Amino acid sequence: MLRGSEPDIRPPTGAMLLRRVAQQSLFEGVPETVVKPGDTETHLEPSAPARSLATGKALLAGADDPGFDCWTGYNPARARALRKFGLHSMMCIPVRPRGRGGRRGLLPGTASGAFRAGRRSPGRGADRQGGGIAGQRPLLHARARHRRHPAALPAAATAYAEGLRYGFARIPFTRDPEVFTGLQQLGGQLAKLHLLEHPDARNSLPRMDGDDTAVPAAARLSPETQALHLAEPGSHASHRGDVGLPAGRVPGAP
Amino acid sequence: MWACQQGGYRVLRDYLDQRRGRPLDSEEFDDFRNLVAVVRLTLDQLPAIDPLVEEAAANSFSAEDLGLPSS
Repeated sequence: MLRGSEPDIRPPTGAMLLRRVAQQSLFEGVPETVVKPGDTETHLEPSAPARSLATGKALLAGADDPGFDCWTGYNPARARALRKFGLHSMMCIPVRPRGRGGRRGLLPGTASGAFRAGRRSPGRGADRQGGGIAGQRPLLHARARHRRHPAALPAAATAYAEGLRYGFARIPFTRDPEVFTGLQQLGGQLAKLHLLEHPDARNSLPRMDGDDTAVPAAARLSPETQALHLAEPGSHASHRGDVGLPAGRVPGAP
Repeated sequence: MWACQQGGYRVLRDYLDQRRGRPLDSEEFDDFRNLVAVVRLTLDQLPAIDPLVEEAAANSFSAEDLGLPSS
């Protein structure tokens, strides 16, 4: 935005007539909504979208929140849809249009359903009532288990489970603390090694046969001996300064 | 060592393959020597790691134990 101005925001109070301008859903055809784009709905201020508009702040409302109950109560069809689709919380994000002199006000983005309830978020009640969604419930169970048996299992191990699906190294989570510690140390060394941070990586350079300062011009692998030949510049015919690297063994390595 | 792969990347061979047809400069040459050392040390560690991984797998928590979906 090169030229723009903040519109004058005056928080609305009392009843608000809100028009739905767009909607999107995980479900084809957005079957869970009862207000179609272009339609209007009157909100009383306690409703979560209205409260979000009035305060200009994003909020998460769960089933134990008056703003959520109020919004549900506007339309019996909505209450049925929420039950049918298992929606138990909503996130309202006020969007402020900028640089449009003629428009003023806040647009609520309303979404329902799959939000991870944070420690202090209003959506927490829904989880306690068993309305958790797939993926959220395991984490809550892990936390609960951690509270019952603090020493048995770090909650973080299961909390990271989702991240581990994206291709990081995976090792079996063993019950044996000694095996776990051993793997942790070896894995740590390997990681350092591959990041060239391990002291051994610098201290065990392969020893060069021949002229150690020569810059090789060409590399050739000998299929018979599996030795790698690095030829000096201008000496393609001969292999003076070759580095022999037999498979599985480095010259000079212990 | 030549055949050593990391995630499908043949470390030493591919390093040189990518520079085929031109001389290595001295920095690349040093890098290559470092790679050789790292591959060597990696291969040295594998025999210690594998039995531990097997042991860990034999006595691991199941997805059910951890309350995870068994996907």
